[in-house]
Amino acid sequence: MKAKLVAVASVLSILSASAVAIAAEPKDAVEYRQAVMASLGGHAGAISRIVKQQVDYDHIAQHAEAIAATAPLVEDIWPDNSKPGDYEKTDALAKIWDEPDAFQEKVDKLKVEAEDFLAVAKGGDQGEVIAAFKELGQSCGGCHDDYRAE
Amino acid sequence: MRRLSRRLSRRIGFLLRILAPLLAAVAWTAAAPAQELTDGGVEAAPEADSAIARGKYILYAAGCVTCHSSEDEGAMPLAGGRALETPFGTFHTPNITPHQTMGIGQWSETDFLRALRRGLSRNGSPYYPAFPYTSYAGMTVQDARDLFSYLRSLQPVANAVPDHDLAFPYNFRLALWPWRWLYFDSAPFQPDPDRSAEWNRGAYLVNHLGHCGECHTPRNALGAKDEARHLAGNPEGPEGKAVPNITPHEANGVGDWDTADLTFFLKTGFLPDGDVAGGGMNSVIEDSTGHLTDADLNAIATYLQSLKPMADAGGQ
Repeated sequence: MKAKLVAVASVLSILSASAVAIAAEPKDAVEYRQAVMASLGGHAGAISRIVKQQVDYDHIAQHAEAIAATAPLVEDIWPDNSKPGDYEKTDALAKIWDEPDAFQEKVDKLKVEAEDFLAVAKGGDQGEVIAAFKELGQSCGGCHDDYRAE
Repeated sequence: MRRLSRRLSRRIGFLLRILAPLLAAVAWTAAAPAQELTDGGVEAAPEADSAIARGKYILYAAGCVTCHSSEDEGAMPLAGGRALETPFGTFHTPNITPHQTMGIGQWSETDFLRALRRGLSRNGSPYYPAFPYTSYAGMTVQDARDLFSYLRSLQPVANAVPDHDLAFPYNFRLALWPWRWLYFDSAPFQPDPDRSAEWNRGAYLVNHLGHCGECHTPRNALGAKDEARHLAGNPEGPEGKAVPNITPHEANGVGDWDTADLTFFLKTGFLPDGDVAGGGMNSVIEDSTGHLTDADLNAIATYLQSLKPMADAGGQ
C-alpha cells in the first residue's frame, strides 16, 4: 500500500512539475530564457571588463560563482512550447528539440566548464583564469554555433 | 568557344562562391582532434630559435588544423579526411602528416612551398581555391619552410583520404586556370615602409597567414574576393550565415571596439558585451588566434583599426 502511495505521489509530482514547465506562454518562456542567457553574458562581460581594464580583480570569483550557479538552469529553459514556431522572437533553433541528447551534451559541458572556471577563479593566477575563461567561452560558442541563429 | 568558356567560368565562379564559404565553415568543429595540439596556451613566439617551434606557431597563425582534421571521434589531427559536402559533390581534405603514401612524406620542401604559395599540387595541377592559397601566397619563404619543418616532425598517420567526388562539370580542374589568370596574385607580401612594423605584422597576419578575408570579405560573381570591400563582411558566409564587417565602422563594424576588446575577443571568444558568437569564429579562436602572442594580437588590432571604415551591413 505504501509503495502504491509513493508511486501515485511520484506520478502526481512529475505531472505537476511538467504542468509548471509548460504553463508559461511561449512569449514568457522565451523571454525568461533570454534573461537567463543575458545574466550569464552579463557576468561574462563583467569578467571581460575586469581583465581588460585591470579593475577590481578580486571580483572575478564572485562573477564565477554567479555563472556556476546559473549554468544548471540552462537545461530547464527549453519547454516544448518555446520553439521557433511558437514565438518568432527566439533565436533558438528547432534542432534543440530534434536532437535532445546532443543538445544535453552541450549543456553538460557548460556546467562542467562553469565549475572548472569557478575553481580556477578562486585561486588561479591571471593567465590561468584567462585560459579557463576561454574554455568556458568555447562551451558557450560551441552551442551557439549549432543551436542559435546568429 | 568564348561563350562556352565564359559560361564554364561562370559556373566555376558559382561553384567557388558556394564552396569557399562551405569549406571555411568547417572551422568550428575541430575541437576534439585539435586538442592534442592546442594544449599549453600561448605557443612559441615567432622568434623561437628552432624551425620546428616556429613552424608550430605558424600552424596556429595560419589556421591549418581545423580543415585538415577529421571530425570523427578519435581522428588524429592533421591526418585529413574531413568530408565537405557541397551541392557539387564532396571534397575530402588531404592528410598533411608525413606519411609516405597517404600524407606528404614524399614531398620536398619545394613541393610544399609551391602548394602554399602557388596553389599547385605536386603534379602541377591547380588546387581548388577552397584551399586558401590566394591568401597563403603572401607567406614568407621562411614561415613556409618552418611550417614544413614542423609538419615533417609529426608522427606519420596512416589515413587514406578518398579523392574528391565532384559532379560534372566541377571535376574539371583545367577550368581553374582562367580563374587563376583573372584573380590569383602570387606576389609575396610587401611591407609598407610608411607604416610601423606592428602594422605590417598585423597586415601579414590578417591577410596572409590568418586568411581572415576568406570569410570576412564578400565575393564577386566569379567567387573571387571583392577586394574593394576588404573585410567589410560577407552576407553569404559559411553555411549560408552572414559574416561580420570587421572594418572600424562605428555602427556596422568594430569601430566601437578598443584594442583590448579586439585582442581579448581573439584570445578568448568573448565579445565586448559578454556574449560569445557562434558561426565558425569559435574554432578560429580555438585552433588559431587563441594561440597567438599578445604582440601578434595587438598587431592584428592595429591593422584592423587602420582600415577604411565601410558601412556594409555584413552580418552582425
